[in-house]
Amino acid sequence: MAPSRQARSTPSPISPFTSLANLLRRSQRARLILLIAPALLIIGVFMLLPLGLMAYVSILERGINGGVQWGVHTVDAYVAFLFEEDLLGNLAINPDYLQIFGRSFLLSFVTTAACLAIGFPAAFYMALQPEKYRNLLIFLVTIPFWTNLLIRNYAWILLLRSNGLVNESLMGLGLIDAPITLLYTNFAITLGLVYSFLPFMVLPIYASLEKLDLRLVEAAFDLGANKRRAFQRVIVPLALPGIAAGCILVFVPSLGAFITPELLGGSRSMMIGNLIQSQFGAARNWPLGAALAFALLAIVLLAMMVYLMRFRRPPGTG
Amino acid sequence: MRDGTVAAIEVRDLTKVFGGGSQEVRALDGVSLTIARNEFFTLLGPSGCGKTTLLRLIAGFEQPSGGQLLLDGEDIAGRPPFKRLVNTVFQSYALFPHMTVAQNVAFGLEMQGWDGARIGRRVAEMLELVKMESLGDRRPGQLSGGQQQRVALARALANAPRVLLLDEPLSALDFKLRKDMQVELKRLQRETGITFVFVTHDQEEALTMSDRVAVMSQGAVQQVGSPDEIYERPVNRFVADFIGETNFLPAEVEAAGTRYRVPSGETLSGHDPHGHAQGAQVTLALRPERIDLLAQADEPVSGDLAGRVAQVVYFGTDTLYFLELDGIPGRFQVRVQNRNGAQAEFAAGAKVGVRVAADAVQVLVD
Repeated sequence: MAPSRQARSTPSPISPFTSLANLLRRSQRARLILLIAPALLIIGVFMLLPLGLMAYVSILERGINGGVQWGVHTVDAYVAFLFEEDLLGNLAINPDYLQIFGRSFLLSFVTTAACLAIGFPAAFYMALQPEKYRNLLIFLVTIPFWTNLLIRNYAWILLLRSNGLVNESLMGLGLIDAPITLLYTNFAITLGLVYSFLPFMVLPIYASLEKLDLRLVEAAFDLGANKRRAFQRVIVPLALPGIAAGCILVFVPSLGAFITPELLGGSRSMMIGNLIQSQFGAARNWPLGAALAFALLAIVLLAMMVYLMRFRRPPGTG
Repeated sequence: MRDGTVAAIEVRDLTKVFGGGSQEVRALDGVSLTIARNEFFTLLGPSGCGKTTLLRLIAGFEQPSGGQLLLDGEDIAGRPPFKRLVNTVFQSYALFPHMTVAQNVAFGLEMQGWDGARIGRRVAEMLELVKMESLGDRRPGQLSGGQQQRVALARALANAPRVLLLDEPLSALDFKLRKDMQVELKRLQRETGITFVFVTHDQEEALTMSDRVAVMSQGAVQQVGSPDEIYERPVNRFVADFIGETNFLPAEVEAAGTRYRVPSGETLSGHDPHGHAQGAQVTLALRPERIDLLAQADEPVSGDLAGRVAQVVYFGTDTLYFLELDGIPGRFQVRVQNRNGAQAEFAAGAKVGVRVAADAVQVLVD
């Protein structure tokens, strides 16, 4: 439209676009909704929808050959999580699933602790390097991601099995006479999880330590703090957000880990991830799988809430 | 050393070398200094002169490459910072952001193992000293620059150090606040009786606050003296140039220790701490405010120079004249107080006489 005096004076026909534009100009709320719409759409389609679907599946009757019977509602799956029905139809507490949950939490906790013990010194070392080396070190930390997780876990099998590199080396050195059982143990799972998730601990801690003003450490020394106390009172508190983020990033995916316990764990060291997978797979009990997933989600969310309540409070006031 | 007592700090031939090989930097090159107890001592110099390095060596953040460092007569060169009875006020304040004001001040006392009640009393006392009593529960992020400065002072003074080191603590403050803090620092030093070692590149700060000043350049001490000594009697061209405004005139010694001939032929009497012999070529330093301007009509006396006004700059309290002197190269500055208001006595282009005050000429070593 050529800009002319006439075009401006005559009212233009109202198109849907101009009315939307007018609405946006007038209403701040409309503009806000339009701006967050893409994010809402993604969360809705990729998170809320599948979660809702699974929540619904968890309260359906299982299908005979897998799947579910749509429209037939029951809480059987949640009952089966805690109880089992004996031949007479009485319900008795079944600790099997709880045991698997317990083991998963224990292994994830040990994994997180080990990652923290290894990751903090590594991140601290990285943060103290001259700037030109730091990017190289970050790059090195991320290198394992270049290879498929499955392949890396198979590599651990080669290392840990009876005639694997570790046992052969130990026997070659004369430290042991017969191969020791490393593979298919809780130890192997923990090792694999630590190996897989260590970068998720190192990177957030590095990010918070790298921002740390070294003059604050000098100030602590100046005021009479030795190295240990400067570390406790200044470095750790200031790195706490990174430590917390790292712990969440390691603990939560460890809980749901599937590949590592599947490959490195034995039949008696099943974790939640494997349990859920088996319910959707071999056991053909989709509702129970979904119920287990929701039980896990509930526990994780609860843990997060406790964490937020503990750490959102400004430090030093408690 | 005053009073014949042991010096608070004695530095002997201290050297600090950073890097190695071709990248070697001598930040300190054989510095010797004695800082008396209860003295406000300033290290003054341009950036890169080594003043901050010297401060960091005293604090213990760096280890010397050579020489001795004595605190109260005791060699502390090898000791870590937490085993030295000195505390530092950092340029950036370096307050702990995760602690309140009171917790910041208490930190050093906790490290000394004081019990809670005693710490509480001491913290209250320190906050009162720096007039921050009401803000003990705030966090550093909620304070203005001047308030953070006060907290940093309270934190460093809480441990009652033998020596307080201050690394350009006022440089981040605006002009008015800086003036207030200068007075405040003097007061704190008087009240606490602690030796202050103050690092600055601001000559005015150094002159107004210090008992003594060490002017540093290129890792070496150029001159140590009271503010009026280094201003009125600079020993070399660097000191004369760095502190205040100075006119430099080339001259030849006509009579050793008394009379110096400038290129235009006139002779000036001067003060020579270096004892140049007759016939030697020297440089004379003259402060612009120690010179009088005379109208052409006035009767010249022996030693008066002649010249022409090139430029007039009005400064409020005084007026700066740039002159071109007959027979002497370069520009010559004269500062005249504006006792009669804004009206400049001489306009650009006017012919003037220049009379130098009798003891105003200082002979420099180059």
